[in-house]
Amino acid sequence: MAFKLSLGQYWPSESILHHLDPRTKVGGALVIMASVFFVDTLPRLALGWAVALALVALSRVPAGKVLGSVRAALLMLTLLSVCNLLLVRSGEVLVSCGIVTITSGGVRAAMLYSLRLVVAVIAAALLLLTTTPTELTDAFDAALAPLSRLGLPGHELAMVFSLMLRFVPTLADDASAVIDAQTARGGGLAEGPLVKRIRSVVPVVAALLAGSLRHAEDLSRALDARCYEGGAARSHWHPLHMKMRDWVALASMALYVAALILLG
Amino acid sequence: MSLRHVTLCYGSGPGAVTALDDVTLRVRSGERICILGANGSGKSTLASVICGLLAPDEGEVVLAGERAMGPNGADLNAYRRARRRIGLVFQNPEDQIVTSIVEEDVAFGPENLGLPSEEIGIRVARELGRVAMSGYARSDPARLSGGQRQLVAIAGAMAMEPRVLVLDEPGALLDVRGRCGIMRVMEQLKEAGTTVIHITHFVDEGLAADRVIVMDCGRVVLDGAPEQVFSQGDELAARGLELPFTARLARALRERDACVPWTCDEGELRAALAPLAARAAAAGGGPRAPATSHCGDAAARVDRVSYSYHGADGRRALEDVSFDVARGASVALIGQTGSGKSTLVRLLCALEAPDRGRIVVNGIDTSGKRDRRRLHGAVGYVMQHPERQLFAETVLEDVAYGPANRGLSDDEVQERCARALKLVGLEGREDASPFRLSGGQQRLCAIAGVLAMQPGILVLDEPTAGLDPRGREQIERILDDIRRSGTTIVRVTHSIDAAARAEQVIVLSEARVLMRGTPEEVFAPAYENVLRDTGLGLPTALRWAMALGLQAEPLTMEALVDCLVGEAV
Amino acid sequence: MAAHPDARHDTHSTTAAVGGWSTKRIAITALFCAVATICTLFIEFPILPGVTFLKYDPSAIPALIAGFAFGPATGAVVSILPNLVHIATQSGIYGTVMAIIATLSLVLPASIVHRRDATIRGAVMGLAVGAVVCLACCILANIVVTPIYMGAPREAVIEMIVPILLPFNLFKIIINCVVAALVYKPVSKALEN
Ligand SMILES: Nc1ncnc2c1ncn2[C@@H]1O[C@H](COP(=O)(O)OP(=O)(O)OP(=O)(O)O)[C@@H](O)[C@H]1O
Ligand SMILES: Nc1ncnc2c1ncn2[C@@H]1O[C@H](COP(=O)(O)OP(=O)(O)OP(=O)(O)O)[C@@H](O)[C@H]1O
Ligand SMILES: [Mg+2]
Ligand SMILES: [Mg+2]
Repeated sequence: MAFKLSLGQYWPSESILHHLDPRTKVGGALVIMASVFFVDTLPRLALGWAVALALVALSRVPAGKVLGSVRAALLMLTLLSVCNLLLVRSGEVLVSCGIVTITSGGVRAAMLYSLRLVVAVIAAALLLLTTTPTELTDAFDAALAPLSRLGLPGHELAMVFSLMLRFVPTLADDASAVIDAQTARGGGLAEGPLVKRIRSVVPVVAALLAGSLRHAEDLSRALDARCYEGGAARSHWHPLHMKMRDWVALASMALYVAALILLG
Repeated sequence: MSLRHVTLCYGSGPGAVTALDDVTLRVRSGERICILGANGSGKSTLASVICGLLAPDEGEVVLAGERAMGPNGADLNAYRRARRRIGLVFQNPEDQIVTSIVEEDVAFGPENLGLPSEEIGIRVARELGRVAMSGYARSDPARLSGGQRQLVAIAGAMAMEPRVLVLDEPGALLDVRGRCGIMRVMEQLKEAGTTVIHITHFVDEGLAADRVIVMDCGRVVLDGAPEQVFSQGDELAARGLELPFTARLARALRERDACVPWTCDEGELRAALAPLAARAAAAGGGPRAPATSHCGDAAARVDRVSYSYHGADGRRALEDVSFDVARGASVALIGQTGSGKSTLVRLLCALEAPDRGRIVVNGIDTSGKRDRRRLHGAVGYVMQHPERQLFAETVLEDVAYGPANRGLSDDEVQERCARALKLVGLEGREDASPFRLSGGQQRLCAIAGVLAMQPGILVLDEPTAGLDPRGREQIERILDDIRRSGTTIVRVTHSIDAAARAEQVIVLSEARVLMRGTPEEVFAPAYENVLRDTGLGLPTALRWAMALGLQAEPLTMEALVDCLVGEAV
Repeated sequence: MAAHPDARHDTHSTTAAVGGWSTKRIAITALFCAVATICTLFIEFPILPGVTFLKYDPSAIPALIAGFAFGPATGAVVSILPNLVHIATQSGIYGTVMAIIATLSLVLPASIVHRRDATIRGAVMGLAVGAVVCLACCILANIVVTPIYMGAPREAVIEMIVPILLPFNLFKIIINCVVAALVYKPVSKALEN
């Protein structure tokens, strides 16, 4: 079994989006993703799409890359459309046969709700394509800064997040090693009856957890050896600075939200 | 830096392990020290104590001038100050890279020291340049090979500008070129005045040090200049170690009554051998062993196979690879790190189907999923880090996993497990947890699990990496045993000397087959440059023979000795 | 088993954990989070053959184990952080929120009960309490969040509770509890080591 990682799909380039402060980008992406839930009319949908396409153009990431993420979500979007088609009953009845009733309201909901989600998917994909894991961690650290001020381990949680991202591929290798070892000896995450499949998960997860303890022991000593003493004492090689372009980006986001509300 | 009467136990109660036992050690500033010892002799533990990462149970520790541990227990502040001046590169580089970008990882240490941003930038560029990894500054460590990760870890430790640098088996995962690179970095560090402490299983690397320390069962048993330590061959053998090649050669020659002095200095022995060599060269090249040609059926046939990993941006891990493995043969697969050896082995074991081309094992094509299932079990697979393939609660359960999956009767399963465990010498440990075994024992346990399947073909991926000489010998012996019983063996190795003992050698380079043939065909002086360019080399014995100007081309030390004194006596 | 990564092992430690977390705790939490991430991303498989969208993913198991072994706080971190990667996958914010609610509501009660009573009985009690709380939370969350996300009217979601939501969630929770119980034994050996 070979593992495909959807994290770490960073696409290096010199676009404006790449150069934005990660805090701006994460904030902006979250605003877009959340705003999508308030898109319920066609003009608002058009606005959302316009913003998404503009961002894709600004990012200078090949459209194919972005499309790839959308394609991954296709199944879910279709499912969502079908649900809406069957569940929403408003407007005039278009088709009615047995328990299946399709109404014009259902068709409208099916289109609207899946199309608006594509905007959210594009925003998430762009965030990952233009931001390195380290920058993401920095943004996460900044977001947790209020926690640190309250005396809670904010920096440490950011460190945990960063180490988590770092160790996912390592443990994925471990997992595939265990699965390989089982497969080569005639076992593995087999097809077959449910009980058998669940039972075959047990050794994999157990081996993963045992392996993770082994890694953790070394890792904690590695952190000590490199003099990690909590976030407070550290300096930063690339400290975060909000620049002019970040303020412009934030202002544009505010404009977008205002427009969304006004469009009604 | 000094340790006095240091003792350290892991755990408590009856299961406690004494990892360090009354160790007393002084390290002078600027020294280059090599620590040798069998698996589990406490080398890594000692390294951690020296670096201030573990406080011993008893004893005094003075690190970088700080009295970290005295009769009153550990002084955490002193430890903290000392750690800032000592660097450690761990046995397993994977666990000490902490960020997802190479240059950020090198910067991690300096950031923790609170250095200003410009200074960090300077150090990162300098250290990456020093280990020749500047081209990978923005790469993801997860995509690097084991050797490259090791270099990143070394750069990360050096960026903190430690006064003392401890390297724990830095060459274990590397090809010949990688190991040379690390030796060169250590040389540079020593010249710059850094104290270097190097832990290794390659005895020959000890020769470059100022001082060699040998550990056994948590004690320092030998301590002195390399010549002095290596002159005590029997003592070393009793500790599960071997001598450097030069010393072994000198000893073997003396046993055959050649008049050479005992020495472990290469130049000296070479000078002393000059007259013998002249005579042997005049006697003409001894007959090379005739190339054994296998006709007979092929256990596995690899035909124009290509393969690439998902998300590897189209880069091929294997490209147009073809070869046959004769039934009952022993095949060595060598190549630089990242050349695709492990990938090829996975395909051979029918864990994956090739993108293009065909692999036929035991007459079964591996492209169909159902056919692959039939092969699982018929082909035994011991993977690169076999200790990671252990997952069961007890040794016995783990070994029984394979046979039980094949639906054998309980008696049959028990019997096979007993036999496999006996073969690897683990009988009596059936009920232990695999996680409690030593590194070497874990590997043997993993091998037993595969042997219990009684595979007709056994595929091993670097089965001896990281083992001490005794462990290596044990595995060689087990492999010889099962080969005599007719099992075909395919084995990946980084050791050229081990490859020279196989019947067939396949050299992979950058996803392609570079050469294949008998060891005599592949390891010929004519190919020296080709092999060196791919990061490999010739067997040590052959290099000696060439340096001595012999016509013969011996591949093993015994053959070399025969050449030199065989007919002459 | 002792309940805190700082408390276990170390007479040999040379670092003081003043205020923040010790490196050991950071390392263990991070690695458990990575295991959970791998579980959500890769080891998921369809519960019913053919019905590909009703996936079971075992990511709650590492969180449960972390909660039992190291206390509710660690359990909560392992419930939340790994699910943040869902923002980057197809399920987006909705998937993230739902997964966090589902995991947290199982792990927190279970580990709080287990902390009070660190025996087998406590563990079983914990799992039972966690299962009930989790079931309630999942259904509530579906009623509140799903209509906003899907646009389907709330009544339609409420109609689905008995035929779909209840059995599916119950089934998932039971598998989680059973697998966690099975995994705990071998892992606790490694934990002692
Ligand atoms: N964390 C630990 N808990 C318990 N025992 C341990 C631990 N680490 C090491 N040991 C035991 O302490 C002894 C010394 O181990 P150490 O890792 O120092 O050996 P080593 O000389 O480095 O071996 P190798 O050559 O295999 O790396 C071994 O018996 C090992 O099983
Ligand atoms: N899971 C993977 N995903 C993507 N690329 C991979 C994966 N595993 C290996 N590769 C790449 O495929 C190539 C061949 O790797 P492989 O592990 O077969 O090398 P190897 O010869 O066994 O090296 P080593 O001596 O270091 O074990 C390398 O360039 C490696 O980066
Ligand atoms: Mg060691
Ligand atoms: Mg390999």
